[in-house]
Amino acid sequence: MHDTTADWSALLRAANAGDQRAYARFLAAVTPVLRAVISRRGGGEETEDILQEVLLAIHTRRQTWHEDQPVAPWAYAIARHKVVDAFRKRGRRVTVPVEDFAETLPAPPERDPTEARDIERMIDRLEPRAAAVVRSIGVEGRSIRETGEAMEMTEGAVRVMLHRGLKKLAELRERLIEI
Amino acid sequence: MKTEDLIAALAQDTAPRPRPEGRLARAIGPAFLVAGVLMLALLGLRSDLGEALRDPMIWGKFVLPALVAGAALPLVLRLGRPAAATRFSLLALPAGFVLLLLVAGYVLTPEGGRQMAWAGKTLWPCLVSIPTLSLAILAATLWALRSGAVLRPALTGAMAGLFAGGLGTLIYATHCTEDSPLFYGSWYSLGMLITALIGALIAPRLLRW
Repeated sequence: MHDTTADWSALLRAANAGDQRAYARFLAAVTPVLRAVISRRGGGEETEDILQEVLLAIHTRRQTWHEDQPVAPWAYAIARHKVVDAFRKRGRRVTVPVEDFAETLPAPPERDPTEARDIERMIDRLEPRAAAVVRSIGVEGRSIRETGEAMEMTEGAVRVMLHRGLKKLAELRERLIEI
Repeated sequence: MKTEDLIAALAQDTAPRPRPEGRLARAIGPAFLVAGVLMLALLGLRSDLGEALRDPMIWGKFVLPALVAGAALPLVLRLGRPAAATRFSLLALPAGFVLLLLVAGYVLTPEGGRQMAWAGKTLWPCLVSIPTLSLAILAATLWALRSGAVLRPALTGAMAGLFAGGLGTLIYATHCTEDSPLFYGSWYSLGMLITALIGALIAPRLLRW
C-alpha cells in the first residue's frame, strides 16, 4: 500500500467535518493513483472521463466511509466497482485486481489539458441554474461567494444548488453510458 | 471540464450526505406499521394471544424471527459500506435455533402426531402471508441501502430480505395459531427464506450505482 494513504484518513475525516481544503487535498491525493489504474487497464482516451466518474462516485458515496475503517481499501473498492462498470458500459470487460492500486505509481494527467468530454454533456442536461453554478465553480473556478454575487443568489442557495447539481451529475453519469 | 476543476467543485460541496442507517431508522417505523395494519386488516390477531404468550413453548415463534432480523441487520448495514468487514457467522445463531426447535418439537411431539403437527393446517397461508407482510419492510430497507454503496447487490438483497422477513414473521406470529415448533420451525423459516430470495432478485436492479 502507499505510504501516503495514512494521510488520506485524516484528510477525509476533516473533509466530512466540513473542511473544504482538506477535502480538495484528499481528492487531489487519490486522483493520480486512480488515474494510473484506469490508464493501465486501457482507459486510453477515456481515462479522464472514467476518472471523473469515479471521483463523482466517491463524492456522492463518501458517507459510506466510517472513521474506524481504513480509507484506502474503501476508496479502492469504490474505484474498482466504478472502473469495471465504466468499461462494461463501454462494451469491454476488465478485471481490476486490488493489487493494481497498491502497485501502481501515481500517474500525471495523460493529455494536457485533459478536458473530459462526457461531463460537459452531462452538465448540459442539468437544470439551467444548477448547470450555471457547477460551471461557475467547476469550470470558471469561482468561489461560492463570487458565484452567489454573479448570479444574485445567497451563498446558502449556491451551496444547495451545487450539492443538487453534483448529485444529479453523478446520477446522470451512472445512466449515461447505458443509453 | 478538467479533472482538477471537477475536484475544486466537489470540494466546495461538503454538505453531509444521509447514511443508510439514518434512512433505515426513519423508514423502518412506518414500514413496520404498514405491515402491522395489513395483518390486522387481512388476518387479525389470534383471539387467544394473551393466553398463548404465557406458554413458553410458544415463545419460540417470536424468538426465531427476532433472531433472524437481529442477525441480518448488521450484515445489511455493513454490506452497504465498501470494504467493511462482514461476519456471516452471525447467521449461525438463528440457524442453530431452528435446529433446536425441530429437535425439541420432534422429541416433545408423540410419534403419531408428528406428521400432522409438522404439516399443520395453514401451510399455504403462512408461506404467502410472511413474504407479503414483509414487503413494505423490504422496500424500506432497500430504499435505505440506496444511499449506501453496495458492491454485492444480490447478497445484500438476500440479507435485506432476511431482515424484512424476520420482522414480517414477527407480525405474522401474532395471527398464526400453529404452535408446534415442528410447524413454525420449518415454515416460518421457509417464509423468511422466500423473502430473502425476493430481496436477492430485486436488489440488483434497485441498488445499482
